[in-house]
Amino acid sequence: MVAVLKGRAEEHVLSRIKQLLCAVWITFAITGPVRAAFEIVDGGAYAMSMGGALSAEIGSAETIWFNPAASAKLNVPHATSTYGTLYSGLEDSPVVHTGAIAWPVKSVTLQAGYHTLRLDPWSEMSGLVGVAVVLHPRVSFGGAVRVNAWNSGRYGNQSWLGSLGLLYEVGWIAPSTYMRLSLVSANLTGWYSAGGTGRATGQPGRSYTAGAQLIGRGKKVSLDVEHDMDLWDLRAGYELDARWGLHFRTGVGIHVDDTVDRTWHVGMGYEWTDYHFDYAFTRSADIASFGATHRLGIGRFF
Amino acid sequence: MVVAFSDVAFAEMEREVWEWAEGPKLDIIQTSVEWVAGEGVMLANLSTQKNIAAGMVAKDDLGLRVPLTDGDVSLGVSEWVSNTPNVFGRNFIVDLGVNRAITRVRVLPGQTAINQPEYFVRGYRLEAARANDSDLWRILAEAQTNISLTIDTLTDSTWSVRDLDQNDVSRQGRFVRFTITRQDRSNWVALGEIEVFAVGYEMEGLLTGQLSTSGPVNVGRVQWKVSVPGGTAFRLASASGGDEIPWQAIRTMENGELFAGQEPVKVVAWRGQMFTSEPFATPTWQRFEIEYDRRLVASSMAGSVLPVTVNRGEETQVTYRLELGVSTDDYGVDLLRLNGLAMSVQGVSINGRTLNAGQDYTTSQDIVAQETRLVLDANNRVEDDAVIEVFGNVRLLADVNVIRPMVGDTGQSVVDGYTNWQNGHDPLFISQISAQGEPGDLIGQLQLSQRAFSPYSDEQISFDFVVSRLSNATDVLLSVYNLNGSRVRRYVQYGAARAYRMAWDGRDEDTHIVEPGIYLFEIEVRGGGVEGTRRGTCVVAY
Repeated sequence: MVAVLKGRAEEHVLSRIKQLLCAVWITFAITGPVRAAFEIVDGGAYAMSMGGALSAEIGSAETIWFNPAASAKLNVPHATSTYGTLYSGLEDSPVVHTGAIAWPVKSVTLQAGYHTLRLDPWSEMSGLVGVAVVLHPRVSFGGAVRVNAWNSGRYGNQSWLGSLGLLYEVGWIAPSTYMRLSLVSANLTGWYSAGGTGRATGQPGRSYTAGAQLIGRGKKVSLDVEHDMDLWDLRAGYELDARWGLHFRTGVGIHVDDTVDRTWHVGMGYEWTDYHFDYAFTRSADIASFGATHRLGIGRFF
Repeated sequence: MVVAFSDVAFAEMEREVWEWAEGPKLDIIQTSVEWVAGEGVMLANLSTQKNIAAGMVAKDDLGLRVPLTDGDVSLGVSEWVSNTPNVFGRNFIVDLGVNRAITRVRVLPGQTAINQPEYFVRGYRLEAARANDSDLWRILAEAQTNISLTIDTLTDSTWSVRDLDQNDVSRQGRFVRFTITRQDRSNWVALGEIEVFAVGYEMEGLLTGQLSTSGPVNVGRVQWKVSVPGGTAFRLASASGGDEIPWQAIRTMENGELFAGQEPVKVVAWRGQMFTSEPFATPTWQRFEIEYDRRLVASSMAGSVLPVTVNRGEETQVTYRLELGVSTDDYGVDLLRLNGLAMSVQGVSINGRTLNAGQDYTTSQDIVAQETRLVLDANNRVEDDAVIEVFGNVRLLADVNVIRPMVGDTGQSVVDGYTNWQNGHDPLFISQISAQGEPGDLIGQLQLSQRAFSPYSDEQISFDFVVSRLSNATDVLLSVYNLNGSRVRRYVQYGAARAYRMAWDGRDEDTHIVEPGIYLFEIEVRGGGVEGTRRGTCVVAY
């Protein structure tokens, strides 16, 4: 009897996921496809202070930009918002805003996010909705649809793209070391159109990201390796959980295509009751003379 | 290498030709060259009695200059005295300037040694090398039992460079080292001179001459035929007038280049220089020719400019006034160049009559060459005395900006196949503008033509800026990066303090159009003792 009830409950959850995905699909089919051709969606202050290595992280809503499955393990709703200036050495630095929310509802976690990049006359934005579910105590799965658009006055472009992610809890691999693995496939499919007299600029290459995270004794190490047709992206981050709610972080990113571009990151976070405040400092090793990128973030657990 | 010579002749142009293979000319002044029948002019062979070390730099083993190549052995300043008996291992290096085929070295005693003969060198070593490097020295002569005050490798039989028949042969090298390897007890050493003798060609030779005409002419192309083997060089310069030419200040010409001196002119002076850095290689100058036209473009021209003083770096309106004297014998003028003034032309008038831009004339400016060019249409060509006034804006940075007018005629160009510009370089006709005030920023007044552009619409973004405070010409770079920090394009211009325009066409180094988005640009000035940058953003969209 118990087994039958359990089976019905699982069928009920799967049915709701299907309904949700269908709703998302229909919503974007109606509102029109959009695509940003040159995207700088790289998460918030927490993500960047960890070098952008967040695909195997589960404790933040900012993971929705990196792995749609990762927020499945959140126990409580979480929202973050980040403001940043890119290349602060410029007289007119581009400005970024990022927001993310992950909200557990019964056995699934709903997630949404937005990202903007502005520098007159360029305006670029991305929206994301997705869902994550725990399929097994060790396995989580998620999917998201990302909406991108940019406009420069005379020209514009729109697109939408899908991504799928998996998270696998390896567990305790040593008495004090816990391990988690991730696998993400992004830019799975999409639809593109040009605004005004512009040109549709084609689909970004489908990318695959493999990630890992090790946690133990107040320390956390994350590593992501992303690959698409033309490039390899290696991201790594380290976090030290100090006392009094303080966290110190550092990271590095290596972007390899025709050239090798390196960025390094440092940052810190502070937790106060249900709130947390984060700061990330990012500097390109190759064009350091353009100044650093600063991001300030705030988040809350509900 | 043989430099090509054009044999094309044009109807109106006359030419003066010097065929050097036929033998020397009476009115030519020559130094260190000789004629070879059927060949041409070559560098002269070295005299066996010529001391090629005379006047060259000699240094001791401490790197200090010593007076051993000044042709004098007198007491004190013209000799080297050890002032200590411990001179074992001391050496002196003479730099001959280029590689020479050395046949003999002579070391003369200083006056101190002549007065007190015990100041002689008992043992010595003479070496030669192509480079001043410890591993490359080769022995010329060596003796440990010298008893002569004068060391002469010709007479003391210590010359070690011999052929299979034991005849002395030369040793090639640029440097000669004289080392003291032995001394008698308590003897000091006093050296007066190190002389070096060699075979082969002179290092440098020159010919000077002039073209004289019965009346004023407009000089055209200057051409020559010369063979230049490896290790040799040939240079030619020409100038107006025949007396006291400051050759050091006159630029070397390219073969076939137009005469750049003052015109019209009755006397054109020229100077050909031959060089070699190899002992047995010489240029061979076979032929020389100067084209000239007795028919002038204009009989006279006198230019002036207002204002004569402007604020440095500020855009200022100037008026250039050119008074032309044109007779019926002249070609007339429909082409004008104002060298030294890159003017954004606002208007042109002839004898007070304002011309219509695009219809009556067209203009262009060359920022790199700092020049304004004006082309008059057929209905407005100047065929009589006239005053041409050109109005426009300039931005000047140098202290003194000398403006040199050049006039030409399309008809002459058609007849002769090239425009024989007539230069108004007479000092009386040169006008100049002084720029006053403090120099601005190293890279200042940066202006972008637009912020966003589409490469698919053949648009580009141009960067106008002014480089100040630059005393020497250097590299000016424009680099474009994407937001990931990857450099997508780089442009380089070489120049001095002036206004610059550099443009990006929205393509990467492989000429592929870049992705739309925000791009970073950086303008850099490097070298010349200064460094500066300006950075900003632009947008590619399509």
